[in-house]
Amino acid sequence: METEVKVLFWVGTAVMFFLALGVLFFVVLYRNKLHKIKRKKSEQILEASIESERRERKRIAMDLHDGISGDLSAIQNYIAILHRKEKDHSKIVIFQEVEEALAHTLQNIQTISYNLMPPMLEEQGLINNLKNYFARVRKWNAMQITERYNTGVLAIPLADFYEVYRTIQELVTNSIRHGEATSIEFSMQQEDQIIILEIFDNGKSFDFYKSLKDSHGIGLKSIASRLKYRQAKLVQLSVEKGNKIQIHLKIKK
Amino acid sequence: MIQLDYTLIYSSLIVGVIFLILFLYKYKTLRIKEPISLFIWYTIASIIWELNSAFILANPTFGFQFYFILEVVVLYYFYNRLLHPSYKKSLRVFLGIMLVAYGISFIFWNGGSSLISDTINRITLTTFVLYFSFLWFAELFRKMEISKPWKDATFYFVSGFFIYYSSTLFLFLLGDFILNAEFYLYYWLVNLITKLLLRVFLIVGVWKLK
Repeated sequence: METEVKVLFWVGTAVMFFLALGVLFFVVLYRNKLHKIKRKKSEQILEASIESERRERKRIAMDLHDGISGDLSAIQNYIAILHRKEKDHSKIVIFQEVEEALAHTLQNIQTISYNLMPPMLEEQGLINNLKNYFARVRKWNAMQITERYNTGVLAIPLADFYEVYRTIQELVTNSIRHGEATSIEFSMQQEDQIIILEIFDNGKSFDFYKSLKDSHGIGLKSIASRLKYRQAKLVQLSVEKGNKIQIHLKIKK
Repeated sequence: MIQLDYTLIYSSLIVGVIFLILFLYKYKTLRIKEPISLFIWYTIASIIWELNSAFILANPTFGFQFYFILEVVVLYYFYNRLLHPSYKKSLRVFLGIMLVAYGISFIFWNGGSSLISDTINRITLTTFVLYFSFLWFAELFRKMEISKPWKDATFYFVSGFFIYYSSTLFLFLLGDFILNAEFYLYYWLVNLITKLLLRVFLIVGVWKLK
């Protein structure tokens, strides 16, 4: 009797103990696997949403540029013709005001259209677009910007061009708006299979990853999502004043 | 055999002391806001009692029945705070069953340590812990809020309970036979080892509390 109890006790206890351990191992391992699958799925959703955002931006930019902008240009021409034929001075003044308002609206539409999707990104590539972008920033903000480009022909996909361009745009906007920077040094170089884009400003210092955690805004989160989507890395280097941020983009073979 | 048993008792006490030190260190975190808080207080009371029994050599007869009802209360509090409110009804049903079983166990209670009454109580408590631990694991899969379970304090608490109550089920089920067995302490080692394991899990869990 005692032997039977003894066997029952030890077998039962061992079975229960290993069953409990087994359940825990299963929970940890399978949970981990499931989490990876879900993470991959959410990355795919992010990828799809970024891609559709890019397509939508392009469509809206084209609609604005070719549709509304074209119609407004036609209206501008009609007004100019009427303006030339008009003899009444009071009406001439009104025509002038309408022409000015139309020119201003056209300028605004072009800026919005450009910000939505740079028209030359596909045709002229990243570097020309960045040069163009910095020229505009210089003009609009009266700030000092130096640029250095030490790269050859960039063999990266158009989608990467777009994300890098948007990231640089977001970082520069942050430097100006939140960092109150007055000068920016931008450089782009290639080391082996990695393109390094660096922005060094003299604005208020901030910790990118700490701000990303604390921030409720979408700017930094958008940068992080774009870089994650392109499997690029953001590195913040320590400097005495300002901020030095590098983006490491791997060239996909 | 007896020597090994003492080694385990002292190891359990040392782990208990580490637990007490950690408790003092994490005192602010462990104020009543955490689901595990009551169980921690309960464990502290047990450790102090064990230290008292081991070193002052006071009468080790513990009020098992009182000890058990405390265990029920703290575990009910833990799972009640931990699980989704939709489980509240089943938690109350289980509490009712445990209290009925507790009442029945008094028939077999002889005023001190009675393994028959302990068996009755233990069966319901073990079922309670295993069932609600399973529910918590299921929630872990459903919600996916915790990315790495091994970095979460609650995972250690639930795992500790799960292992302890699973492994000691047969000890208490066969309690009456074991009490009369030749090498009683030989069987009791299972309780000591798993209790040691539970306390290690509690230490890790408390350490992981933010």
